[in-house]
Amino acid sequence: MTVAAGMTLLAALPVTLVAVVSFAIAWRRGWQPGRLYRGAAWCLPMIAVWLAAIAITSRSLMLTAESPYLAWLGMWRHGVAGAYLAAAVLIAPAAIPAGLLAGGFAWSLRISSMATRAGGRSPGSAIAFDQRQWRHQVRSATARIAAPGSVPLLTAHGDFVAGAVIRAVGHPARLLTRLPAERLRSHQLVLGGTGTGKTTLLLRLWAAFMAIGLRRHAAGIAGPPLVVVLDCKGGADARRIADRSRRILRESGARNVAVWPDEARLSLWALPPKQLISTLVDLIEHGTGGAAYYTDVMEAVVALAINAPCGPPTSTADFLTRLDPGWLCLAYSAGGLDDQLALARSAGRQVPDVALRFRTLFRRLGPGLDGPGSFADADAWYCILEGTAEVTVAEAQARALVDLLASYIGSAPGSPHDPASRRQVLLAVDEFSAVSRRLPIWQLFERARSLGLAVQVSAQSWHGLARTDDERYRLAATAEGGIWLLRTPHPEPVIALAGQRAVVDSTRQLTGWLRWRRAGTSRVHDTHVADPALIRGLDVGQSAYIYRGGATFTQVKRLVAGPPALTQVPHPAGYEALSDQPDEPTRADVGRPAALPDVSAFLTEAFGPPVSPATRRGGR
Amino acid sequence: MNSQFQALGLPASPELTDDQVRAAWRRVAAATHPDRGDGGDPAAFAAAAAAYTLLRTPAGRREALAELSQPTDGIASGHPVLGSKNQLVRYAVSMAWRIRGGRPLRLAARFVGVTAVGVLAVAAVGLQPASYALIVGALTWLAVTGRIDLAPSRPVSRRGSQRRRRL
Repeated sequence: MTVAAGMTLLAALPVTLVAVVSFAIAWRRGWQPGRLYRGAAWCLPMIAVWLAAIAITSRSLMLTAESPYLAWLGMWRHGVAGAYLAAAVLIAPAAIPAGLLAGGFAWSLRISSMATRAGGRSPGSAIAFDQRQWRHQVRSATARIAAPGSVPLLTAHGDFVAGAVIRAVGHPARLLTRLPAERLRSHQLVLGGTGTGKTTLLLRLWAAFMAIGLRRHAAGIAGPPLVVVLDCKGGADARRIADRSRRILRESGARNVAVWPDEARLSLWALPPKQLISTLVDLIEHGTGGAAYYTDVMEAVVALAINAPCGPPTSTADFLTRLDPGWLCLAYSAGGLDDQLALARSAGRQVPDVALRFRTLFRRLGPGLDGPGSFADADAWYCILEGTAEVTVAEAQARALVDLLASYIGSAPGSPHDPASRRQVLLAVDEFSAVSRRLPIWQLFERARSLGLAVQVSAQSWHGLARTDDERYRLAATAEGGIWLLRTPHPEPVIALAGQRAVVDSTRQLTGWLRWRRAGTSRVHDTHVADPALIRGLDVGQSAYIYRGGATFTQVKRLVAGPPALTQVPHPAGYEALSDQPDEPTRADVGRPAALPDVSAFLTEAFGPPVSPATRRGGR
Repeated sequence: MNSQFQALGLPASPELTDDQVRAAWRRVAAATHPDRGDGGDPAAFAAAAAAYTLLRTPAGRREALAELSQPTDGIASGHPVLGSKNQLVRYAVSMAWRIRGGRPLRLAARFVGVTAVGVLAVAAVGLQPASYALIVGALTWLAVTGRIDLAPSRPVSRRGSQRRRRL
């Protein structure tokens, strides 16, 4: 450092002090230089008040223009006299913004010199600097999400906020990870192992989709939102997550959340006949080659049962009743249906086998698909498939649910050409690997755009995403809304999809043990946008959002819902005595209604069918 | 929503069964039906019928329980139920709730810091342009950075707005 530079720094001591302090804070907290520049910009009101006050008190434009210089002189005068506080106050309005700018500039130089490996005292300095900065950035992001008001679910403009930014590569360096609402309405992929915070991220994404959808619906832009979650792992943990999802989605505005099959049902028999045949045949596992013959026979029998002149079946029992040679022959013997009658007769020997297979299938599937109910009944559906315990059953259920959803979207109220009346649907398939064998979700991907459906697939690892690499790449490449990557052991394929960026790498001459010369060479080379080692080392709640050749590392903010337990709700007075005293019911404290509701169905359910006066007389 | 359970004389418990709810409905319906000789209690009967419509299925009971557990209700959560038309009072009450639900100690520390800067500046140089500027700068800092210590303002959901109107 030359003497002149030293003198300058000394002369501008307040600016130097602010710059040093801001540089140290930025280093300590892992800030980007832009943070210091923004701080300088926020000093503008202070400068404006300072200059305005000087202009008013001095009534001289010249004095106002000279005020920084005069403040500097005043600062030294007070400093020499020992009035350090007065000196600091006098120079502060000019020194703070200037110091922040200088500190930001020095910090950006330091970052770029370390990024190009041209700085530091030893060959490993750049690596140590990067690792230390990562720790600092993580600490800052964690502190930011801990603040209650720092990370809202949505911004005022309707953007989704996932959490606090740890580090951004190829994306704008902001404090918060903000995604435009359109990204949530596109296909997304979430990869992360168990215990990495995947569920926390998914819940936030679902809640945001619901909140954004309701805003758009309220504005008349689109129909009401519908979130359908297929939890393909199942088990007790799925019930716990379902309960948490319900409370979080209700906080986001969902009126009701149905948990399938525990609390709500859907009706497979609501599918159009053609789709029903295809779905029913696909629910039964069948082979190729020689086994294809039996598949053809089964399809013919199912088609006969469903396309019977009396209309398609309305329940499982109805369908199974039809899988009988006698019933089929009788149904098609009405005349004019000779071909179908001949087919029913020729397939007569196979029908009992087909019936046996379907009887077994429906027994294993349970009553969840036997209705009544449809996706229109709730704003969100949490479907639990026992993919860990019963893989084949889960696969069949997933296939049926996806077909039902596609059919529902296709037939939902609203014109397909009018986006304002079309429902906004998110299909989230959690632990997709459990059902990926027989759920052709990429078929949905391809036609989802026209249906207004966003598909979100999550898996524990790249290899768990699908059976073959072709299918995995097909899923990943069509994730137009971006890829969320949490800690996973093999992130390379996804990182390769994210692309590369050009970086400058400098070499310097080593003249001795840890002694480098300033002279050297630089070269430009390509490196991955997201560092695989960094992905492998992500902590709980940290994720990398990969989108359009950039990656944003995020500390995801956990959504907190209402308490799950309701045991604190007190029993109403007299509850204990109710069973013993049927003549003393508790009366609700409500106002008198305008008209009594029609409760005849409920009365029948409780007391049995009404007895007509004639019957009553006869009884007497 | 607890009134749904109260209307049938039941506890708000996740362990309720279909049979228990049906039995409660029978009991209340038999005692309050308008066709009774004494005229019954049409209001209680209507409330019980509405409650039974909701609580007769496990899914309906879950929904009702989830509704009960939500802190969106002003009374249950401590969130102020605003009846005043005065926007200023409305804002002040809302801000007080946000401070209480956020990190009040940190906010207090920030406020003390800003006050200290202002007092020191005035004590050092008196009422001069520089002291005015420092006070404005400190207040700007408080406004920009203090927001994160406030609890987020809770959006009024469609259910919440309906409930407040009812209240």
